[in-house]
Amino acid sequence: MVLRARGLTRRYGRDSGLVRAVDEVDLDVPAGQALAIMGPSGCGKSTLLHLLGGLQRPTGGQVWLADRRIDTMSEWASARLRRDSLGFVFQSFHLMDELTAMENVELAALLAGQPPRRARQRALHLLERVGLADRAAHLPSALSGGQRQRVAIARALCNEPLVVLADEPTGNLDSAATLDVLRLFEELHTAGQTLVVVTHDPRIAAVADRVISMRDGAFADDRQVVGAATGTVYGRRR
Amino acid sequence: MAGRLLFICQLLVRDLRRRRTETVLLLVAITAATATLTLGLTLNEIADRPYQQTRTATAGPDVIVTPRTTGQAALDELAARTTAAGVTDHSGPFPIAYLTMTAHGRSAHAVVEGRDDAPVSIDRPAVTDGTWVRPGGVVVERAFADALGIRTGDTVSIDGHPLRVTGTAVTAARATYPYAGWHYSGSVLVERGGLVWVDRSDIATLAGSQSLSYTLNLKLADPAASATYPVGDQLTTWQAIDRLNGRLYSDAQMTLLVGSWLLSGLALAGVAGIVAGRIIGQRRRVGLLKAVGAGPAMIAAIHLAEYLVIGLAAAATGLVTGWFAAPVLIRPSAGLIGSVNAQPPALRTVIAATALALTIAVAATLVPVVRAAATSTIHALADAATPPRRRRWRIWLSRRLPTALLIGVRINARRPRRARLVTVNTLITTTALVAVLIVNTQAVHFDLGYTALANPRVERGEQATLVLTVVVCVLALVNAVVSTWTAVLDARQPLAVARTLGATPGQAGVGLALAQLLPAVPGVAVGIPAGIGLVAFVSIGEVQYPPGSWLLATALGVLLAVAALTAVPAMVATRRPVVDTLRSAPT
Amino acid sequence: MQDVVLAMLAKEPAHGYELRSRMRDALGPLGEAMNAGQIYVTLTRLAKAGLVTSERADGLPDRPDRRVYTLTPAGQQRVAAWLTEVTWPKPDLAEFHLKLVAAASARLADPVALVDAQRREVLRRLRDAQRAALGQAVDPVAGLLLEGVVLRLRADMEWLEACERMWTKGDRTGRKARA
Ligand SMILES: Nc1ncnc2c1ncn2[C@@H]1O[C@H](COP(=O)(O)OP(=O)(O)OP(=O)(O)O)[C@@H](O)[C@H]1O
Ligand SMILES: [Mg+2]
Repeated sequence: MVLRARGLTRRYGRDSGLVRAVDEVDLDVPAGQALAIMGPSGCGKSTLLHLLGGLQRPTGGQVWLADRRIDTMSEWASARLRRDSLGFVFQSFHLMDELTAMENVELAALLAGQPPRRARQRALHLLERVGLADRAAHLPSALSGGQRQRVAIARALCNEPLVVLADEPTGNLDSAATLDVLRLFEELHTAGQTLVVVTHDPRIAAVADRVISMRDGAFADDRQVVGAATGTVYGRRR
Repeated sequence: MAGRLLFICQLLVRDLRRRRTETVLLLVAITAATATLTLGLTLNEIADRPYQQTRTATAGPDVIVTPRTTGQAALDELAARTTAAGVTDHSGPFPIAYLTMTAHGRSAHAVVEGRDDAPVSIDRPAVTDGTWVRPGGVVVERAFADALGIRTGDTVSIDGHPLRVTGTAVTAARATYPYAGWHYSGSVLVERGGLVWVDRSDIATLAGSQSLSYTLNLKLADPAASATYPVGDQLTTWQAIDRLNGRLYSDAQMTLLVGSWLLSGLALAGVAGIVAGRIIGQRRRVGLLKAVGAGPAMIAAIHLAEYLVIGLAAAATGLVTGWFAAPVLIRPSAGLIGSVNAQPPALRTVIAATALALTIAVAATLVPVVRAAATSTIHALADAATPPRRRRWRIWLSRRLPTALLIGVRINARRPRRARLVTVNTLITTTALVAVLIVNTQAVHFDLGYTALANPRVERGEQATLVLTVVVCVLALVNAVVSTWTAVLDARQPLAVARTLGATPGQAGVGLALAQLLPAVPGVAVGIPAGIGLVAFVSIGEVQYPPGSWLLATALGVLLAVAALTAVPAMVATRRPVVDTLRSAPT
Repeated sequence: MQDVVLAMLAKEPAHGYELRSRMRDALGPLGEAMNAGQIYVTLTRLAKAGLVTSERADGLPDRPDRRVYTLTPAGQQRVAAWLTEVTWPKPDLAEFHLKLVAAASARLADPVALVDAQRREVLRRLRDAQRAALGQAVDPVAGLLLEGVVLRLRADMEWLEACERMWTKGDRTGRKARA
């Protein structure tokens, strides 16, 4: 298992204001799986993703990434972990406005301590892979939403992460741009990249081989999609 | 129209309330500048008004004649004066001797004037403590007594003759200590000294072998007519004495006026920083306002109204602060009576302070407000950061630096205008601090030659410098806090992004501190020569430079303060979970 | 089906197999499932109704797919009328809705479970349609049709979510009333 969680819990507030954003969630993600977590707004998807990525500390439970506990890690260690083993993709892209597409991608590699030349090569290669080689020198403000998201995905892939965690990656995109992102995820999946995508867009299901429905902080339904290519047999696990 | 005004007022009140800290900081910055200006201008009045009061209270003369000749020759010369045209009344001639007084082991020149017990029509010194002269006693001019630490009941000696101090008094017929007009008999060179009164019967004993001089007080039909009398070593007028008394304050006034310009600059930089930060936050609102149909004029009005209100409030607080602080910080000479706060500030002071406050507010807001009002609606709504002119070399450089520097340099490249503001801010702060440092060095070396007595003039200058130093430091601190704080607010999002990419909180914090420090370095570097140049430019005498190590310490101190002030809020900001920051960041 | 075939003949007379491949191209991945015989059945019916005529092509065996079909004037009129028509297929949600109501009132089944099952089915279809759309080779015109299918299915998903919210709430209030 690349990613494993047991009894993962995150609460906000207390007493009458208590919100169980994530409530005792168990999760196993094997290497190479493309997992989609779906659910209505406010059910705790983003929170779960942040917990899995060490961006937030759980109030209970444990998370392992490649057999290392990450929920108890120091801030410094989890920063290192993010640098080397995780890639994040956000709904609102979170690119740095003043850096070009290339520099945005490269930044991740530089932060991870790669030499400048290698970082640049890697960035170029990734931009090519997401089909934006010709836009490398553009500022994010000169890119469309779909292009920005592809840059963000390239950035997430920069350090060959164990897992790519994506939060509503298509939330701000139109149909055509969504299709581009889906294609990219499909390619990543085929290449064996482990993906965890949180969304309420059911189209993501097209690239997932497992779909989990979330309700009120817990998993309501966990479907393994068997034979993704021929794609009609659904087995219910829980 | 009424609806619009109401709308503007509503927005204004909301805004001021919602951003309380910024409002207070703005107020502090502008208040400091106006208060210093008020202080500087008020000094004029302080020097001037108590003299008028003293003159009225003591029936001060219009013209005072003290011939160079002595003895009978002097008396003959003075007799003719009493009948000159326009003279309505006179008192004297009174005998004068230029002697040395010793009190508590310290000596000083004393102008000794012989007086009678009976009151005279012109120049009745007002006794502020004890009683008027009697045989064997001496009354000391209050400022002189103050400087020598003499109290009623003490015993002093004049040229070796012990005398009991029966009281202290003030007069308008001579300038206060140290300008009482002491000189060696027959010499035209005036030296510093104070005035004392003794009984007319005692003066001959005191003078010993020295022949007595005489002084005569004249009252004119028209006090202003005294201006036609030729002022010299033998004759003086009330206007000349007034001016002489004012000299006590001229150093201080210069310091405070120059200081208030420096402070205005600092305030401007600080206000510009705050406003820039506010406008960034208000960009989206500008877009919304435009979307609902507000024109550029309306938007500019909304924002300027806010700063005008703050400016006016700051002018008022500055005036009041300056006015009340003036007598506390710079007490009027002890040689004069009357309080300083008897009357409200002069109109020109009010106008000058208000104008300064409004100028600062408007100057700092105009550019960003107009720019915000003129941006296209869509642009403002999208709140896209204006693509800055990109600094290629910086980006190139940053790729070769350690992580913290990499983040710092890139954040800087992101906000060139903010970086420039930091430079200006540190430049003005350093200039002011260096100027203050030099003035301080100056004061220490001033005129210690003659006597161990403190020189009230230098003392006042030092007080003014102290006031200035404190205000400059406070304002510099406020400025640094404001600029670093807005920088931290501004950089939260990129820092959070960097952290999702794996930068540690430490790297992010240090990076931000570096982002502030880099533009501060040129500011400090230029600030030192600028401060030296400023003092050299305004001071008349030779400039005494402080040791280089002090200057270096000042420079390092400023840089250290900037770094520390940024690092602390940056560290605090990075303690916040990344997720919260990203969540609250505009998409 | 009839109107579609007629409209495709409006441009020029064509062989049956030409019509079939044209249609398959336009439908893209969805065309794969089309029954080959269906088009000839339709053409035969149209010929009977006098809307098309057909003649044997030279040098070819006389089989339905080798004949060339042409519109008659009546056929042309019918095409013109069809083009101006504005009918639109109605998705029949009432039936599922009533199923839920009946299941809930008679306690036949848990409506939420029904919704869940239905959603899985819709999700499966959506997934298939989206996967088909993802294929690199899809011609843009055919892709448009897939997009339409995906959009409708997404609308269905959203409606099912609304159903679930409704019935979960009903469940809760019901439980509360019983307690
Ligand atoms: N900082 C916080 N303080 C209190 N409650 C919070 C906080 N952050 C999130 N929540 C609550 O936790 C719950 C889950 O939030 P989360 O952002 O994970 O939802 P989501 O499934 O991602 O929703 P969406 O699809 O709209 O993004 C929500 O009810 C939210 O109100
Ligand atoms: Mg979310």
